[in-house]
Amino acid sequence: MTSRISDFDIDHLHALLKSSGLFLKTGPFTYRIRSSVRSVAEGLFLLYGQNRFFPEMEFVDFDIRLDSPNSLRRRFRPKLDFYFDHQTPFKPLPISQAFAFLEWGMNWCVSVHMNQYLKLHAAVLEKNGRALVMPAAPGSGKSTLCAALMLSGWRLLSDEHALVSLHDSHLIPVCRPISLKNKSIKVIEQFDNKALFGPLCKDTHKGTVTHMRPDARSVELDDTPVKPGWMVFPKYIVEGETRLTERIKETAFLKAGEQSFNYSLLGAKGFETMSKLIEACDCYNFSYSNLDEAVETFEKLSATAV
Amino acid sequence: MSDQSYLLLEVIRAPERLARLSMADWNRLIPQARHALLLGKLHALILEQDLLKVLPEKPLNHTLSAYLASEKQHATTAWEALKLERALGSLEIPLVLLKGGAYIQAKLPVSTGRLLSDIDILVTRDRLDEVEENLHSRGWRSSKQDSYDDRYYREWMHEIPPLKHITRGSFLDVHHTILPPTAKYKPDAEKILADIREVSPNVYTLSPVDMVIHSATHLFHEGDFDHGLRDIIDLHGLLIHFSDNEPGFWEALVPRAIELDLINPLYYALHYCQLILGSEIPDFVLKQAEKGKPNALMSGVMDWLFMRALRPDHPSCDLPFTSLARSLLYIRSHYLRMPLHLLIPHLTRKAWKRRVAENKQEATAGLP
Amino acid sequence: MSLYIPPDFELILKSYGNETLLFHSASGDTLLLGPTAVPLVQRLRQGPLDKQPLFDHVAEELNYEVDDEFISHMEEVLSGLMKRDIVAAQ
Repeated sequence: MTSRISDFDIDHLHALLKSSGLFLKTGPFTYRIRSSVRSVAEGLFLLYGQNRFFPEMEFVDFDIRLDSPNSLRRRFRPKLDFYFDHQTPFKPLPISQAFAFLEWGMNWCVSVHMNQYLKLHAAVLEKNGRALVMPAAPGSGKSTLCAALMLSGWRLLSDEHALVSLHDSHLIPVCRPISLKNKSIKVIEQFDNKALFGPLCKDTHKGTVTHMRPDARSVELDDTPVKPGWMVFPKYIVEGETRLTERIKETAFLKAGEQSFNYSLLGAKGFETMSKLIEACDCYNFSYSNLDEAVETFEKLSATAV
Repeated sequence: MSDQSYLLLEVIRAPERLARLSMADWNRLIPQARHALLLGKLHALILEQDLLKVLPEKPLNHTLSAYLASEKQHATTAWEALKLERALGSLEIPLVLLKGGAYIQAKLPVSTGRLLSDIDILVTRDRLDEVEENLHSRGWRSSKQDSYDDRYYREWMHEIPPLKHITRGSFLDVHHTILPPTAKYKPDAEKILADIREVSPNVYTLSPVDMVIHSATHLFHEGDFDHGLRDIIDLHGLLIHFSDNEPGFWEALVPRAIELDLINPLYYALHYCQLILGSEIPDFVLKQAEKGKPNALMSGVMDWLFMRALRPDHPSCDLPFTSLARSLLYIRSHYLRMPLHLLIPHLTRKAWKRRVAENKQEATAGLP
Repeated sequence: MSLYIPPDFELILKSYGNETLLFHSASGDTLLLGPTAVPLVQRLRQGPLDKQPLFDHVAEELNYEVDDEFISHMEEVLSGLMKRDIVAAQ
C-alpha cells in the first residue's frame, strides 16, 4: 500500500520538516524540504497530501530550506531565508509569506537549472490525450483560467512550467498547486466551492497570494507525458467578450519563445524543439472575462483532438 | 585524499572513479560541483570518459544543464569577439582576449564546459581612450554609475570600470595592464603585448607562457577565491595542454615569469597545481621556480590559507577555519595591489557597499 | 560587390506555410523573414552573388517588376540582413 504525505498528521510532518526533511517528488524532480515554520508544514500537508511519501530518496535534485538566518533575529521580527544548497538566492521575506516563498523558491529551482527540457512560462493541461499549452506573461489571467479548467475536468500538468522534451516535444508533467492572487482567489472560490486553498499570504510583492490543490487524478498521473495539441495565448480583458481566434504558427513560435526560460540558451536545439512543438499544435489567441464561457470554449476545442 | 567530503577533487584527479560512484556520492558531488562552478566541467569529464550512457540519469541532468549553459556562453563569446574585433579593427588595434574568452577562441581543451561571467580584453594604455570611445559608440556602457567606484577603477585598477552592452547585455572588462599600477610587482604590459598569438584574423591571445603566468597572477592576486578550485583546474589544464603541444614551453616558463616580475604568483601556481591536482611538472622547472618561493614561515602560512580557500565554497567541503582563510586572502590580495593607507578605507567602503547592494533578487514566480 | 552568407554560422529556416522563421546560430537570434528576404537568403545559401543579379532573382521568384521602388525596398532588406550579420559583402 502506497503511503501518502497526508497519512501523517501536521505535527508529525512539522517534526519531520524540522529534522531530516521531507522528500517530495513532483514530476521528474525530487526536493528535500526542511523548515521549522509551522505554516510550511500546514501548506505542504494540505496541498501535497496526495503526493507519495518517500522515507528515503536516492538522489535529491533540490535541497532546500526555509528558516530564519539566526536565532537572535527571532526575538524581533522574524524574516525567512530560502536556502538552496546552503546558499540564499533571494532577499529574506516575512514569516507570514512562508508558504508562498517556498513555492516561489521551488519554481526558481526548475526555472534556472533544468535545461534538459525546453521550458516555457506556461500553464499546461490535458484533455482527450492532448496537451493544451498556455504561455503567458504574469497578469494575463493564465492561472485563473488554468484553475477553472482543472476544476472542470481537465488534467493539470503544471500552472507554471511547460517542460518540453528535447527528444519528442511531448509535455512532461510537474503537477503542483496552482498559484492564485488577489481577485482571482474570490473568482475561483465562486466558480467552484469545492476548490481547496492553502495558506493565505498577504502583502507580498504580488499582493495577496494563495495556492490551490490539484485534483487527485492529476497528481496520480504526474509521471505520464502528453502529446502536444493546442497552444493558446490567453488574455483576461475586463468585461471582454469570449473570443478564440486562430493565429499563424510562425508568430506563435516567436511569442512562445518570449515566454521561455531557456529557449535562447538551448540554441539550435531550442529552435528544433520549438519547431516540433508548434508543428504539433493548433495555435490560438484567446481573450475572456467570463470563466463559464471560457470553459465551454475549451470544451469544444478539446473535441478537436486528433 | 581519503577525506570523504573531498569528492569533487577526487573525481577531477581520477575521472575513472565516476563510473563507480554510488547515488549517495552523486548526492554530495553535484552540490559541490555546482558551488565550485564546475558542473559543466564535470559533464565535460563525463563525455571525455565516454560515460554518458552508463551513469545514472538524474545527476546527469544537472551536469548536462550546466554544460548546455556553457555551450551557449561559448557561442555568445565567439559572437562578441567578432563584434569586438570589428570595433578594434576599425582603429587598427588587435583584439587581445584574456582568460576564459581566450581559452574559448583558441579552442583550448580547458574551455570545455567552462562557464565565464564576462569577456576580458587587453589594450595598450595609450589607445585606451580611443577604444573606450569607439566601444561606447557601439553600445558598450559603463556599468558603474557610482562616481566613487568609477574613480577607484580609473585611479587604482588595471582595468576600466566593467562595460555592459545596451542591447546584448554582455559584460566586458577592458584591461590596460595585468596588475594594478599600485601593485607590488610591476609587469610590463608592453612586453606581454609584444608576444601575442593570432588565433583568427586580428584576434589574439597571450603567448602560452604568458597565458599561464597571467592566469596564475589573476588567481593569486585578485582575491577572488570563490572560484579558486576552478581557476587551479584551468591552470592545470593549460600546463598539460602546453606541455604536450608547445615545444620549449617548460624551458621558457620560469625565465619569462622572472622577466615580467611575476615569479612569485607562478611559484604558487605550480606549487598548488602539483599539491592539489598532482600536475606533472618537470623537476628543473620546479627548481627554477623556487626563486619565487617565500620564506619558510610564509610558505607554511600560505599552504594553510590556500589549501582551505581552494576548496569549493560549500559546507561539506570546509576544513575548520575556512571562512577565516578566505577573508585573510582577500585582505592579502588587496595588500598586494594597493598601498596600505589606500587599502583600509577601500576595504571598509567595499564591505559596506556589499551589504547595501547585495545582489539578490525578489522571489518571484514569473520569468527570471 | 559580391554578397554571401558567412559560412561559419549555421542558418536554419522554418515555415509552416505562412511566413518564414530564421534561426541564426551565431547571434542566437530567431527572426521572422519578410516575403522578399526569403528568396534572397535562399539564393545566397547556394553561393555568393552580386547585388544586381540577386535582386533580379528575387523579383523573378516573386513576379515583381524591378523598378526604383522595388530596388529601394530590397536595399533596405539587404541592409537589415547585413546589420544582423546574416549576409556579408566582400
